[in-house]
Amino acid sequence: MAEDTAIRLEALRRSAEERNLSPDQRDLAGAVALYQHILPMIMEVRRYWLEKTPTPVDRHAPGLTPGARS
Amino acid sequence: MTVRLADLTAGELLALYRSGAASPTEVVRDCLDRVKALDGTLNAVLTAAPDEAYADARESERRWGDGSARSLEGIPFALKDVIETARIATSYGTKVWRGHHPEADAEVVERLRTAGATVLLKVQTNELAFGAVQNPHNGPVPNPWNPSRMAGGSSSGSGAAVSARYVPCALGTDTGGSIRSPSSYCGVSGLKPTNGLLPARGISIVSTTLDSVGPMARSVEDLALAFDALCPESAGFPLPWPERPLQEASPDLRGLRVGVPAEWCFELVEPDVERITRDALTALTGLAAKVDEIVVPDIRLGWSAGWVIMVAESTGLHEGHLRHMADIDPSLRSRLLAGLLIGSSDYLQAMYVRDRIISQLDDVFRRYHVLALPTSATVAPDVNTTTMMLGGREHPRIDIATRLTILANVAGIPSLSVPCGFDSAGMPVGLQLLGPRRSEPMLLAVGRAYQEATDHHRKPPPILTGAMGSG
Repeated sequence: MAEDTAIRLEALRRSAEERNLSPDQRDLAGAVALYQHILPMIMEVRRYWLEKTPTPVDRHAPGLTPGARS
Repeated sequence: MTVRLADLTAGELLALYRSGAASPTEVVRDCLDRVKALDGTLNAVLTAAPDEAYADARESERRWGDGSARSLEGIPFALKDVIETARIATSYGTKVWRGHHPEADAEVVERLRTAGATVLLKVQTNELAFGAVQNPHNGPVPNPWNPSRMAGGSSSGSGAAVSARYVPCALGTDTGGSIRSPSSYCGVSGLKPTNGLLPARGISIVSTTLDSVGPMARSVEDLALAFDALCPESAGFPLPWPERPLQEASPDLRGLRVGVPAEWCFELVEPDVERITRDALTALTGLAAKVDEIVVPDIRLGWSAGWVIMVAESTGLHEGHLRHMADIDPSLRSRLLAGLLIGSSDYLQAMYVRDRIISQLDDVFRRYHVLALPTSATVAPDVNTTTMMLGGREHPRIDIATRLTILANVAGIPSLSVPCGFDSAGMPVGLQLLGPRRSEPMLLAVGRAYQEATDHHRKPPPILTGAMGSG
């Protein structure tokens, strides 16, 4: 878990740097903590998507097709 | 308690204007007196606009005099300060924009003004409607029912201002429940309209997919008045129910089919909230509605998908604010930065879940006119609460606060919250009604019938009755 946190901190630092943003270490740590709070939600969504869309063709769901959403 | 003009609803004020028993100038004066008496405690107001409001009131008096009065002629509104006003400073709740004067009114403000309303107050919000619930730049907004409790977020100022009777009506915005939670916590009524129905021009939003702007008021009748002005085309929306004209006196709910996703919505709620909500469902049955408990298969996924969408989109929309890092509170900085870690596949998968939920709710709405559930799992929490014990486990407050509301944002459907009772400590509880897209007239008709049969919405908060101070 500590390794995951370090990887995410570094990824976030780079992403911010690419956007010319300059968060301090506390901002980065707060953002990673929030992301880790959201992570179970992301995983739940991912599991559902994999379960409900068993083939690549299924994954072209109507809502994901450009122009299909009104 | 002596009834003052500021205590009256918009509908009651319009009747007094029509008869000549009161004038818009007198109402503006009384509303400002109420703000002066109470806002040292409630801290809901960021900017009052007396000069503009008195000028508008004089114009309204002329119109009432010459027979050209419009639907909201002389009704004062409060606006959440993420809604732009040309003549009144708009800060979006952040230090970055303090003292900013937008070039034009938001389109919804134009619509209210076209109907004769006046903007009296700009009121508190979470920073950019997404920061900490206690705005670090402007201070907390205590709840009019108990100042040790929060008024809710992010339309905290709108909820408190309507509850404490500064104004009869306000506008809020809602990404995951920010109109309905403060309405529930503060004992007022609130409508989150169908996503995309009302124009977002001139409003700082959190999420393009989830956000709506909508009215808050002390009665559903007032919500309907405001909504008609905000969305004139709603008069032509199809009405699946009722079969009888809405204007009919003392409507009951005969023919209305109500679905309650009981297993999900009562899984993690305070016992008082469940008891009071079930009492409200019994009241709907008493009005001849048919109430069934139902199961919506993937309803609980809405919360997860909603959070992924909200965090990802807020970062996309507000990345520019991260260039003003020093002027933004750390809690908001972290929220906006967190979105940089959400991948495009995570976002698209959340949008896929959203499509599935929309499809499942479409099926539900072929069998039921409305869904009913608690607005919030709890009454207004203590201002310092960060975690809450429910179902034998501790949960972050922010998770519980959005758990039952964000479904309507994810599905893009309208949702109405009305007061339905009080817990053992006297704090208000809200009943939430959801309907299919563009069913606002039906939800308002159901809410109005419920309020004609009950009086929870009429009870004044202790701050007005002297239990917390003078008003």
